[in-house]
Amino acid sequence: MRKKILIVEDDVLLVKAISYEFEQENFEVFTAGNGEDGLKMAEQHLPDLILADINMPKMDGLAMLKALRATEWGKNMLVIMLTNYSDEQRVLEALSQKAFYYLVKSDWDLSQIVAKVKEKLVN
Amino acid sequence: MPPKSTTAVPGISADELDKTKDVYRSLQEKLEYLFDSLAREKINLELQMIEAKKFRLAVDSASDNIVITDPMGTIFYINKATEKNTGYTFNEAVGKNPGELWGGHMDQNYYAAMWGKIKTKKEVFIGQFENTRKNGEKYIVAVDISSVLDEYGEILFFVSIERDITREMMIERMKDEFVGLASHQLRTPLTGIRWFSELLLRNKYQNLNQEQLDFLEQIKVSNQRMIKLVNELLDISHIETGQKFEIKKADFKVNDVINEVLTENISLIKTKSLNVVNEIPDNLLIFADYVKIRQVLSNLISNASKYTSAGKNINIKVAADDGHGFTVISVADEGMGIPTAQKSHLFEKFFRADNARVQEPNGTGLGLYIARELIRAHGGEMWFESEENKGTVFFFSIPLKIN
Repeated sequence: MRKKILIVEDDVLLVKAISYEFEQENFEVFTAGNGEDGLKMAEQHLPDLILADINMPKMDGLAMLKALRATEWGKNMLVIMLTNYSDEQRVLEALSQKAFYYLVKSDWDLSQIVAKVKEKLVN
Repeated sequence: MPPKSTTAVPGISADELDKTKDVYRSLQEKLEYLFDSLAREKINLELQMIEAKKFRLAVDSASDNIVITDPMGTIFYINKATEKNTGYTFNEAVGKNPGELWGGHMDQNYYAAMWGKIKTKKEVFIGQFENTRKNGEKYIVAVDISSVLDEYGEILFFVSIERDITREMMIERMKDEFVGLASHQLRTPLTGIRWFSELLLRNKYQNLNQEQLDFLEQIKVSNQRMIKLVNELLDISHIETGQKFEIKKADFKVNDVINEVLTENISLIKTKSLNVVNEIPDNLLIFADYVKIRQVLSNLISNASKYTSAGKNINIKVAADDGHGFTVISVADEGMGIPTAQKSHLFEKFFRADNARVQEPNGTGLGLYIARELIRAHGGEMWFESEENKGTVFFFSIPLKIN
């Protein structure tokens, strides 16, 4: 069974790069451009892991994470925040909502992100 | 003594007359002396008055707010700057307490701390107050309150010197917001360049020639430099605004971080044929903030790769327990070393040693400053040993988990 990953990110170029990478790595990739759509996709496809941006239109990533944690199906879903923000307040908020990684996009290669996802999905 | 008088006065003997004259002369001398003293005293007082007037004028027209109160905090003097700044006239202010006029908006504990400092300890209080002008406008002052004591050490009065820093604070905040915003906005396109050049560099279809791959490598290196600069700007703005780094500790393998960082620097290491000797045992865990330790090691290892001469060694070592409750990690280069005269400046913000500037003109001088702040936020310390033309060893300590 291929692992399912949901990428919630509003920047189409970044979505293109990261989806490509995960597809190459044999993941089934779903994408959404904002938190609201992300939440719907998550419920519909029940991904093994969500990679979520924070700053997005309609519903931001932290609000999405909060809403996700309030659902029965999403309360234990694996989430990695992949964002431009590195301020403590957002990091702490994400971690308090049980996001298990908080990664600043520009600090990581695609291969490193894939490695982190795989490491979590194997365990 | 003058010669005795021989003039006769009826009924008084010559002897008695002489005695009286002596007394008179002596009195005259004393009076003259007193008169002189008084005259001198008068000049002194006049001088003192001129001095006092000068001081009064100086205080009156100083550009900072100066407020003098009695030991109970009742105002008996404000200067012109205070009148202008607060909107209260001298007559409105005298006899009142600052709390009834412009003050009283801070937390009670803050005022308690101030009173404790100036009244109990009789020390200078330095702080900031958010006050309100007569027209209701809020403003922020940097204050410096000292107690003036008499010869027995009792408080005569308090002198408060206040500078309105509202505008500076606003500009500072705007600057920080700008740096924050600009840096975050820059991260998206920088990520795009990073990820797409990574994909291209894999040369999946084997259709890029070596020259094209070299060019791509240059794009990647430039991109990494910009990412680093943005991160440093954000860190500096974080430190400058007095925020503390939040340290989220967890157990992780030091070597996982080191391997990640070495991979990042692999092209430089290969180009210069550097020999990296990592003596850290593979299973060694440290209890620290993964991302921040990665940033520190990234700084040390990329510096070591830059400054070590081609074909030489970089040594990474560890003392798992230094006997004082810390794990100490060291990164040693075989580079040009730090000139003795410049050693004390190495951790200063924007400082770059002269020889480093020549070899690597593009550095910012922020990396080590930030790295040490990150280690200190862990409760550890960072230091170095260096010998010119031999190399430098950087050490940092991280508290053991049991601490």
